[in-house]
Amino acid sequence: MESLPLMGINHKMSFCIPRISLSALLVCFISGIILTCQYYPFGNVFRNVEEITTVIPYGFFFRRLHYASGQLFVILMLIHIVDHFMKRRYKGFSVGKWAGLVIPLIICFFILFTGYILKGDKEGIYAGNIFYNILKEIPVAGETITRFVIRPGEMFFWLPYLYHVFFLPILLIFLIRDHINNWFSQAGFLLFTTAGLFIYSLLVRMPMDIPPHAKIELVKGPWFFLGIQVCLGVLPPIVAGIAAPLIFFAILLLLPGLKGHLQKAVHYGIIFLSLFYTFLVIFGYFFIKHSWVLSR
Amino acid sequence: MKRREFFKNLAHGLFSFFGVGLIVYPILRFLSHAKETIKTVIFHPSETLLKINYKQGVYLKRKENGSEAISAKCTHLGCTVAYNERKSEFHCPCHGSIYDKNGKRLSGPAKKSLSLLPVRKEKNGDLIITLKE
Repeated sequence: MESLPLMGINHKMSFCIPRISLSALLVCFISGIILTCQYYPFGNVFRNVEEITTVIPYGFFFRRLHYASGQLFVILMLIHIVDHFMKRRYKGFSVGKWAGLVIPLIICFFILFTGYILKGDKEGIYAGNIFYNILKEIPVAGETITRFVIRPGEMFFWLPYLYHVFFLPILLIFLIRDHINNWFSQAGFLLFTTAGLFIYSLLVRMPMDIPPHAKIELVKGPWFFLGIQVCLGVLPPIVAGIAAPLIFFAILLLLPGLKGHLQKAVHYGIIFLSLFYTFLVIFGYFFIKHSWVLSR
Repeated sequence: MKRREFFKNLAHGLFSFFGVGLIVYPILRFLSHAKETIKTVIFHPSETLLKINYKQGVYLKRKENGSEAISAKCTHLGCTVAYNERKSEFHCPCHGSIYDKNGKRLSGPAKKSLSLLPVRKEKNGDLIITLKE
């Protein structure tokens, strides 16, 4: 494993995180392929998922492994981008190269989000419905765009399934293909990560699935969506769900193309917005309890 | 650029545009086609005795002169509202919109009231409600 002990802590982090992250991605893909063999995106999806978890041998383990490895990959990827951002490495990048780092992160969030829908439980169905209704708010093309992403009725899980299992992973692999070539030579990271994820999946339970017909007072989305969910309570859906995230990622993508003071100002603006969003996520996770008092 | 060259490029561009469109348009039309799904919810006579009852996205409310069906779909972003018996209100668990017992919007991010759905009574007393999905 290269000259790891001689590196400073910052370099160690920059060196290890992408390698552990890619190892987690491989575990995620393999566990995902295994789960696909028993997952059926039609009919009573919740019952199918519960069967995988409770009846099919080792189903619980592969679900936990898939969940944990997917989350680990995205969190480490997020840290990897923050690491690049804080060290201002984007200054040496073209907009295209920087986009090769940021766009995979956006794709990863969509993969996590579609996976959240595919659970088929109450939270998943609500997340899908909210996503569908937010997209419908897009002026002129909203109705058409939703038809490419998610549809109500018996095909509700079909398109998110296609995106989760085929389109987005293929696009992700294509975008990070150079990283895969460069970093997959170190078997130590793969062994270490796989062992850690196996132990974690055996010991730690996943969040409980809520039956679709259960009566509950509060539904929360996935952790990375909580900030948007808080905003949706007070802002129009087109602003909170479409315009704000789009503007944020557009600014982040264009950052290497800016120069001088403008780049510095945008850099600090992104830090401020990211901290604010983190605050909203924490607020949504811990402080919003029964009934959304905030929006009354 | 000479005039002849300009027209040649223009013709080339238009030809490419319509050529690509000829392929892409049917693909987009095919992919974006969505059939309208109509869902039917049936409340049997025994299920109409409660003051308010819920089934598959529909709340059936007993009234003096019959029953009224209210869609449980929140008009904000489509979550299913829950009936709070203590307050006689419908509460959305996703973003906190609140409606009164008749489905009229009281507070929260939703801008419209809950939809009232047409109810058809069969000879055997079943109440049939149809709604678009």
